[in-house]
Amino acid sequence: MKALTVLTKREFISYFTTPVAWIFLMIFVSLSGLLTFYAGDFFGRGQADLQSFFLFHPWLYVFLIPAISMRMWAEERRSGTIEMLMTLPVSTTQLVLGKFFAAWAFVGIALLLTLPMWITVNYLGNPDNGIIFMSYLASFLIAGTFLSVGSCISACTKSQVVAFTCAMMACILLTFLGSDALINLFSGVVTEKVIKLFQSFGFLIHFLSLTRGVLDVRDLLFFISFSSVFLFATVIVLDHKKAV
Amino acid sequence: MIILENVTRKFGSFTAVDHLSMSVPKGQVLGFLGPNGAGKTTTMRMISGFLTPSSGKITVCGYNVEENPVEVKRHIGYMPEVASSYNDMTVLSFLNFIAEARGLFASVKEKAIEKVVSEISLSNVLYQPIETLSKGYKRRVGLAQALVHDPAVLILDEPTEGLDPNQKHEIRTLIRHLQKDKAIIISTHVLEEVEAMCSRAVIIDKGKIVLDDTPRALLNLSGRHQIVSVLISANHKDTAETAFSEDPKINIADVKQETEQTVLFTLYPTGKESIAATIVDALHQKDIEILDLFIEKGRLEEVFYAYTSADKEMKDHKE
Repeated sequence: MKALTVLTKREFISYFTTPVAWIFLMIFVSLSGLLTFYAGDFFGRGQADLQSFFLFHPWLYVFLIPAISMRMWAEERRSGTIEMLMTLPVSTTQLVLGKFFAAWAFVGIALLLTLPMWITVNYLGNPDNGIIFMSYLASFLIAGTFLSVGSCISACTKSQVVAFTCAMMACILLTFLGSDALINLFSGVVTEKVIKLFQSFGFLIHFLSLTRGVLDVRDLLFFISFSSVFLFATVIVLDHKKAV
Repeated sequence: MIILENVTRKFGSFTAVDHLSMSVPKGQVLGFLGPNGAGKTTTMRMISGFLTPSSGKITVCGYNVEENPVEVKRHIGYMPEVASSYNDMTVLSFLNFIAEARGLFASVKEKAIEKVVSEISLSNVLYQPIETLSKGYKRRVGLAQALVHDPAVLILDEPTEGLDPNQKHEIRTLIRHLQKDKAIIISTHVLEEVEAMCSRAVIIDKGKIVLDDTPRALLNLSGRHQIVSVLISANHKDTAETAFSEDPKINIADVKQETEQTVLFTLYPTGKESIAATIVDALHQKDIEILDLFIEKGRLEEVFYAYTSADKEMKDHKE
């Protein structure tokens, strides 16, 4: 446990020693704001809620999360620090979790920086704060799940560019699974059951259900188990591909 | 402390380490030699738990590397060949991280870092980001990282690579100093280092041990061992030449006019014993002043080349 804390702390601090962190925070906060007001028509809707704010989060994450996760292992592998890291008396699981929690906490900071939005709607009207809290949770969860996918992809390669591109494609695919566009595309080809299966894996559907304020344990479990699977896969990939 | 039994490591169809067995007891410094690609780094990575062997068994301090990797890593200090550290960290924060990850905290940690910093003379650069350091300092940070928890087993992959002669000397002194209560494996290309630091030399080639002996024994295998060169005044050239050729122990290999006033004799012994004293006596009797005298210790390089494949192929080619 202590080792995990040490690893997480180092990773977390390391984000702030590179410009990536500051650029990420700036882009996330400004884009999420801009999208809310312009694309989401925050004022035009005439409602005191943050629906138009959270609606865009998965789409921001699709591009921004891979920018965080690409470094995780690809950089360690390229620079050779992985050799030093993996000869420390810690398990691979601890290493993977350390990096994951650090990245997740970093996204948490980005989310915290958007709190003025919450304050603003409370100033403008009487929003359902329970729903907003749930939406923040949903946003945080989906970010974590994307990070776990990105972590696994980053562990497969030495190149950050490859890690970024592949993670982005994976995130887009996962978000789109279960979207109407994809369902329409496949509706004639595959059976109803397969479509249901697709939908059950669609991130957007679970995300939207949480942001509506419905605390469904199945949605929570979905994100948690999905992350666990990919983190476990990261451990396996690392154990098998250390030196290459 | 380190036991390798029939260890093999394959990368695809390539066998990097081929049924290698050896053991290193406490107090021994093993110099690990071999050409590039002989399997030195792979072997060291397997001992340190970074790579797992394809077959065979490695035991460190009584723990099996595959069954109990965390426990093994706790007892090992490992300096990788590319000793890269986190470039954006300062030396101090990096050492703090390593010490904490190795389970040292608070005052124990501070003492450990203080000790290693003074041993490796890093105090000047403690607050500098690692990326701004010179190559020599970076290597030293890599060494400090391996020593901070005072491990029972040290695995150093070319520790003096890229250091200047002074720094090399410091590291050698340090390793000799550490030797008594540790088992140490050092890989190197620099053969004098084996003489300077190691109590045992192992040459591997194509993943197999081709020679395992003391550095001194290796020296004796060298053809140039015990060759003596002596410099005298040119006036005495003929007298000396007769004196040497009369002595049955001494053979003349070469006589060379060094400058107008001096001449250099290269002499080798008939048997295995040293001939330096005989030469001095012979010249003394004839009242010839010795201007300079040096004894060739033999070169590990020659043994090394003779036992590793690159040169064998070359020899075959010549024949």
